[in-house]
Amino acid sequence: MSLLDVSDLEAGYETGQILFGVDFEIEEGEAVGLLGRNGAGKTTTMRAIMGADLPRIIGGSIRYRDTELLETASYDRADLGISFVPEERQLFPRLTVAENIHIAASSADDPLPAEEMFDLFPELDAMRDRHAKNMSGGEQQMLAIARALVSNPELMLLDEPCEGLAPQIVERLEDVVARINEERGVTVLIVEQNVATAMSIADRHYILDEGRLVEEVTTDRLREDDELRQTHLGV
Amino acid sequence: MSDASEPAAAGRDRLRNALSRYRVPIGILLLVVLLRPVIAHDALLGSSYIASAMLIWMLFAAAFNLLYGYSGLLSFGHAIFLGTGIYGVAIGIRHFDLPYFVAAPIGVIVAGLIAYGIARLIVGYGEIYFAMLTLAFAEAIHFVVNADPFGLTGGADGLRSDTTPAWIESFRGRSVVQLGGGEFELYYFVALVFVIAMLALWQIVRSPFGRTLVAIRDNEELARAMGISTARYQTWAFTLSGVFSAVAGTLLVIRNSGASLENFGMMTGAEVILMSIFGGISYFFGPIAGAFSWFFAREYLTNLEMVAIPLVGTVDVGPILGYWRFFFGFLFVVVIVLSPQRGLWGFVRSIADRIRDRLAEVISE
Repeated sequence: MSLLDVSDLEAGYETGQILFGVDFEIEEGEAVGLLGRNGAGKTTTMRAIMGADLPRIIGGSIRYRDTELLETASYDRADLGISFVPEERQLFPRLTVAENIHIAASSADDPLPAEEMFDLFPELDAMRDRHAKNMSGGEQQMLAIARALVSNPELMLLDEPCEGLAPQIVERLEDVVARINEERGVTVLIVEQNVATAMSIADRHYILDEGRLVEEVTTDRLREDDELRQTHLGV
Repeated sequence: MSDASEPAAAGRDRLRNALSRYRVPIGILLLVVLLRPVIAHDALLGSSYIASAMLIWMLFAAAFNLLYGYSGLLSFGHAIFLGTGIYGVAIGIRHFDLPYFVAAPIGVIVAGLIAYGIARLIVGYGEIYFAMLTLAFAEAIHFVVNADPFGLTGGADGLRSDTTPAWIESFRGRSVVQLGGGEFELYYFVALVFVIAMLALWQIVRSPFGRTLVAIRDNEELARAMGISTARYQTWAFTLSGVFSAVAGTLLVIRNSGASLENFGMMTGAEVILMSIFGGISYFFGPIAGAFSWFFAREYLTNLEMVAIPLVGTVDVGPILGYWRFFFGFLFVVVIVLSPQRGLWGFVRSIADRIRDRLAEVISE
């Protein structure tokens, strides 16, 4: 049985339907990319899984192991072992680095030691008492990932973690996320517009276009098939 | 740098760390010690008459801000909890002959239960609905108290007599506490409760519970996605805020020698909001500064009668300044325009920071 099974998901907002029957599965231990242009429905899919800033669910199901997520309160979904790195580096700006991590750890059943996060991101170690709002974009993203990881998740959802960051920081984050997947066995679902980032982390990708799943491809094929990338991703 | 200066520098650092870690308790203690003599100075009010009322309203505003400033929920109904503390004591002493130290905890507990019940009903409907629902509850409870159920509340007259604790001796407007063989001004009793309650509030704010409230206020969606039951935290924030408001009420009933219907009124709930915003809801001391300014402006402006203006002579400003709310309102607008969110306390702090930076520059040159 797959870890996450999204089937025939239809969802939208007040302004209109975004997803028109999205199907995909993720197996335990995989790293999977969810790709597509702006407005293809990537973030809506993520939010439907996590239950954050609720899109209106019209139909379908999202199963996580034996649990139907659409019938589970959003704050209970985290307890199942899912953690979320939302878009735009969302943090708790008035809390310090240490407090941001501590809060994530204290709301988890079986958290990792906070010190492990500081080993993973030595940059954060030097600024434990700094408020999150006074950090650079790259540092904030590291904190957002540390915060998601400290709850010791089975599945980590990342929504465009590298958007708007300098190339060397992007490289650093790609490396960390890949290691989280490979060394710790955390299953990763990453939403990206930046195809290169997705390819460096994930082995397999689903491509969304206008709210429909149009392709399932491996990283190798995505790299080689220029026409596919051009048609659905515009790159 | 020589070796000998290192232990001294380390000692200085440790002192500075301790000062910064305990600046809130130190500030609370300084406040109760300095408030009376400072406002009684001839250049200010010339009387310490309102010092205990100031402390009580500071506590009320700080309790209110646990909800508004720290968890982001605006309540128009906090008069409910202040009023429950006040009436709890007044009803207990007058109708049931209870000692103050029994009636006061009962009032606080009842306020806590009311707060918990209201919170369970209205948390989770979104900020604007929450605010409107607190207003509705405040109106409903005001109506009930006004209706004088079972002759308990005295209706529109309130409870004015037989509500003073046995250990309070009032003499020419001065209230003296006679407890444990000693005799002291009411202010010191108020100050003791104030310090304990404020330290408790400070502990709550910096505890994991308090930090989680800040997190929820900062980003509720993210908090929920992290597995935090935001409604549960907000319910407890509302309950604790109500409890501490009621503690302020159990003091105010002594200070005011009784309970009056206006304690449950709209204005009471509105004043605590204005004070807190004026002072700055982002800071622990913000609402305290707001309550101080409110009372100070009121007393100062209403007592000012003659102002000497060069070339013009002395002008009788008493009749104009009687409209002190107008001038305070004007001041309110100025502070909000100059320093929105951060209020007076934020304004004062940014000036202090600028002076400190400037001094540091001068010294390093």
